[in-house]
Amino acid sequence: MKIVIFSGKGGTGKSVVASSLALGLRENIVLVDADSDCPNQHLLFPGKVLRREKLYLTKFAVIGKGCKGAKGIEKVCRFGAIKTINGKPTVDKGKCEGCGACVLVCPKGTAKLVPKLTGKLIVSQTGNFPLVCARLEPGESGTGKLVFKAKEAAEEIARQNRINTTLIDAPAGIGCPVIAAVGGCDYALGVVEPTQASIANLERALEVVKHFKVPFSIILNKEGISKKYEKEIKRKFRGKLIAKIPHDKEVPLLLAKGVPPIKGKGKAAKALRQFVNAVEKGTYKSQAIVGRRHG
Amino acid sequence: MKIAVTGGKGGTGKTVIAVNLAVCLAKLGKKVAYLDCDADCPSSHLIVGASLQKKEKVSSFFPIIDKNKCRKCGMCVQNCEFNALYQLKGKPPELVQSLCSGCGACMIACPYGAIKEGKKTIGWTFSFRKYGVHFFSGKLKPSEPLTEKIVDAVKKRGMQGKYDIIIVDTAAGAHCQVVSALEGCDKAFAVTEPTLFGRHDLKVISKVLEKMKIQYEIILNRSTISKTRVKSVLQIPYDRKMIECYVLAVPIVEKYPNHPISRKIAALAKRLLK
Repeated sequence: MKIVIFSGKGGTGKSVVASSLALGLRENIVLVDADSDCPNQHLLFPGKVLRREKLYLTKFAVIGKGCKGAKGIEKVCRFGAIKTINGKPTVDKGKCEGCGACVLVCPKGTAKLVPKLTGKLIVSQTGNFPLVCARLEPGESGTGKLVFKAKEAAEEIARQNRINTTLIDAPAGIGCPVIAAVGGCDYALGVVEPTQASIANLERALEVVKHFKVPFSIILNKEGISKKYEKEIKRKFRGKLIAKIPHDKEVPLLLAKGVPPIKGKGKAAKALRQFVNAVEKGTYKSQAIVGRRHG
Repeated sequence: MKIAVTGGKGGTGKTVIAVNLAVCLAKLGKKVAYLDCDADCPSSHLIVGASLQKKEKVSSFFPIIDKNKCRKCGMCVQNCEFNALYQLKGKPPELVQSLCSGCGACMIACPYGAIKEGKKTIGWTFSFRKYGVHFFSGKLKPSEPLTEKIVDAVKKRGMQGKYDIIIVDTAAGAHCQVVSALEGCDKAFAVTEPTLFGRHDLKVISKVLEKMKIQYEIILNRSTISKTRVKSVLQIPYDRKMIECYVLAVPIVEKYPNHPISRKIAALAKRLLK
């Protein structure tokens, strides 16, 4: 059973919901932090690192010294990464996607594709569960590929340790890392806050979820900020809304200290515990979230 | 002058601060362009209560395979670095749209000229005016992977006019899309909050900014929720008025120009012009 937690807009509470499920569920779980740009779960769940691996998943083009330039070479690159400087084509490493179009047109074989460090895969054993985290080299591309790798690693851990639930904490946005995080999941939990931006962006993210035909439910976080948008959420996601977490100043205070918010004493922590318990019991009408076996 | 507003973590207040800053600059009589470079989830129009106008298509290449000319040699499949093409034995290759980067390598690789240039829409750019600021925004078509191309299109469109100041609002994170947005900026503000997540993500984005040699300063939002040692040029306390303005979709500098937060943002805008 693979459950992905997504939201579209950043800062709505994906990591809070994911950390609560990871701690609260009595099922065996493995947690994947798929926010490879800015992974955060390891801050809440420090643990012993079991595996650290450098990943070379992307490539970039290098044009050798022998190259004298060719007419129209700049147009061959559809990413605008090739510029002719002093009569010699030069590759902008930051823009190069590693597609190899320039290598294919080079008649003398002076252009080559070279692998580059995309990021790192880090597997750690926290108190109760293994945590898989893919960490992007700052500013690089290839987040989608990294997320795929992290999910693969988590599946292997799940198989070896007979873990039946994989939780995937997706990044903000709807681009390649989100596509990679959502694809192939059995269930998706969308986290929304009562603001216009959050609702609009959740709807955009939902299009990706629906594209992969993943069944989903919605959790309303920070309830109490705006009655107007809470009504709109209730109207728009009727039948899909499975939990409401009240706005509680305790949550950022706990996050400031690195404590998972479910461990708090306030009303948000209480609501999070109720939410997890309800998931545990599989009382949600739409679908029993936990209980199915892997694969 | 191009000024980026970024920060790493999502939901720290990048867009709200960027919009308020842009409105302040416009009030000071400057010609201001605002580029919303979060093409995954654009929200500047929602924060100023405007609708997206003047839609323009952004398109990208995709291969059209002429099954009559194709000799099933598999060269295109071999040369696709993104695994977007696959081939069953004895059949012409098939394309997985969501993996295709639109690089065109398959078209070059095909020895029989069986691949033709196709164009698909991958998103749109928009522009509108509000509070004296010229806004530009982009939207990725959901389930398409090429966000950075939309970001480039937004930047290209926004930079056609003549402006005194261009504010570039980036997405959360620190990957290619954010890098595309930051490219060419003279200065950046990194917006963060005093939580562990905020501090961690700030470190990540500062690495990117240092790599790109962009000078940056830190803005600390919700500064009152916890103590921090982060050195910032502007501290914005946790305030119900900020949330109220967010929900009403009006910048705080418009709604409450004399509120302490508005004054702080206005002071920052004045400092920028020096």
